[in-house]
Amino acid sequence: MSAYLLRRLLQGVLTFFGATLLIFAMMFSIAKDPLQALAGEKPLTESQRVQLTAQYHLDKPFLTQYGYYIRGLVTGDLGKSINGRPIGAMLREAWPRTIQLSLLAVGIVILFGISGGVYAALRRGRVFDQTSLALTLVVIGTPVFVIGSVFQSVFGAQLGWFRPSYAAELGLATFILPAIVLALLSLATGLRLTRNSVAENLRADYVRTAMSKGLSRPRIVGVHVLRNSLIPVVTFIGADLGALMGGAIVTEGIFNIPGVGHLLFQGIQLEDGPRVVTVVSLLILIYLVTNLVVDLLYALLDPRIRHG
Amino acid sequence: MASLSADAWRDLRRNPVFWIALAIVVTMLLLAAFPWLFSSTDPRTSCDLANSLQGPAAGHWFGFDKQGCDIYSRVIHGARSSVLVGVFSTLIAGVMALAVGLPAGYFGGWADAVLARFVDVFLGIPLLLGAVVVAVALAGQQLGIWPVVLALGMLGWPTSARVVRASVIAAKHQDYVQAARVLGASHARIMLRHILPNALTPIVVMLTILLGQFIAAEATLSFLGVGPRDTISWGVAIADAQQFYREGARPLMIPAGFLTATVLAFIMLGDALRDAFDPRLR
Repeated sequence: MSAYLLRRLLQGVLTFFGATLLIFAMMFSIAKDPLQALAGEKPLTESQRVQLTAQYHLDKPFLTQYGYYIRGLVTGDLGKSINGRPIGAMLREAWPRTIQLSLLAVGIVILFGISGGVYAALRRGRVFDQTSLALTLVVIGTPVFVIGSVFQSVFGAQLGWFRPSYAAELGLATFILPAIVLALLSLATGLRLTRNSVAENLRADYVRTAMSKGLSRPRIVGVHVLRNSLIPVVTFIGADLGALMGGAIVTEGIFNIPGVGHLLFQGIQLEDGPRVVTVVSLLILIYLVTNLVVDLLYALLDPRIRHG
Repeated sequence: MASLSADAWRDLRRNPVFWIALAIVVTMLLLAAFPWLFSSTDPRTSCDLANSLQGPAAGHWFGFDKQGCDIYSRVIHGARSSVLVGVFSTLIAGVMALAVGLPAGYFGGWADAVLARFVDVFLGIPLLLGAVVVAVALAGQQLGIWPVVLALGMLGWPTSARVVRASVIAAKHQDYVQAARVLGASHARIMLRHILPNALTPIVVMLTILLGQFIAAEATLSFLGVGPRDTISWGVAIADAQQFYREGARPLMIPAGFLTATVLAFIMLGDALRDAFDPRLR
């Protein structure tokens, strides 16, 4: 286990430096003028030029710039946005809402994705199975921003079931519609994955053995099959966090939820380069750490991985 | 060759999903290539605020959006930007996937380990987040669809590279590869002439599905405001309509429907091809 742990950790560190270097290079090297890349189409004042040059050490060689940038990222010194507000403070304010939203979304994925998938697998070829396969395909083919806009318009404005945009006084209830939107894509993929995984395991030899021992069907499905089927599903949910983050920008943007995704959404609209590059780097860091944790948990659960 | 490809074609011919998906894909390609065949209304100059949010009328089947533009002609002309971005970024991603996956699978060992770390780095950047950075960095310059094409193509290939690698490994131990090697063929010749044609099916399936995903990503970037500038596209139309969602759903639903149908068609086409050519994966 410890050899695997070490190897995986090293890989994680390497990926982190590679990915942040790539993001940094994309921000500062592909545009003709890196300062203008930070500010988009807006004209820059002389004092802003001086301030940005100092903030990103643009007068130093490229690798030195990157070194300063990584040091800031790791030590929590996140610099200032294009209009001079500290990015760290903006993030601290925004985090809790994004965490509430994404936890709710992951909860929805686990609850409905897994139970739906198991039910479809047990009733293969029947109405529920066929309908859920067709519906999940449509969801997979629909970009999150389309689902979000349509749900906001239909369930928010037309039918009036939900408040169509964020209202702080409603507490957790205000996150329900956005969380459903954010969850749907992962829910669809998770449901299909669970269905296939359970259906395959139902044909396994150990199920026949359990059946011939006279175990009850709920016990076979609930204990034997489920435990073996859920490993790929758990990995998927962990790895799917990247898509969830992309989805959070769009969802928080549409429903006006003042979270981290909205911060990025606004940064894009305002062409605020420093904000975009910092928030993206942080999200990548979180994504990589989560993936690392999921991989290690996976190895802990399934010995075939760490010895493979 | 009455073998695999004939079998696959027989399967495909009987699959209604294949025909539906193909019909949608061909329609969208026609819309992108010859929009004037389908609509004689100019989507830019025909807007009239007096028509704002009006319902369908003669010659304007889908009615008008908030700005009083004809929804039908905007949706027809919006296909081009989506299809172009999808095709070009898939080409770039396909070349990258081959350039990395072929040698990784063929040589194995150290080359494979190094290339795997390279793939890890790109996998560590969620597609949409990376594409946003590229698009923001290049926003100041008037480059049309190219920043988005470049961003999606250069960041969207790693999963395909893994598919290529896996199918190369499956093909490289075949007898005909050994035979070619004994005859003195170079590594490049073995990879490109012998292994690649026999490992092509999963790659083509993967790229078909990827094309759909790129079209979805392009629309999402347009929606976020970093897509191609000053173009008529489904993403922009949806973003415009979303701001006025309280006043009417039609300007939102119609481009959304076209976009979803297109993305879905590529995914279904990929699924149908996979089922026909490789029944084991079903």
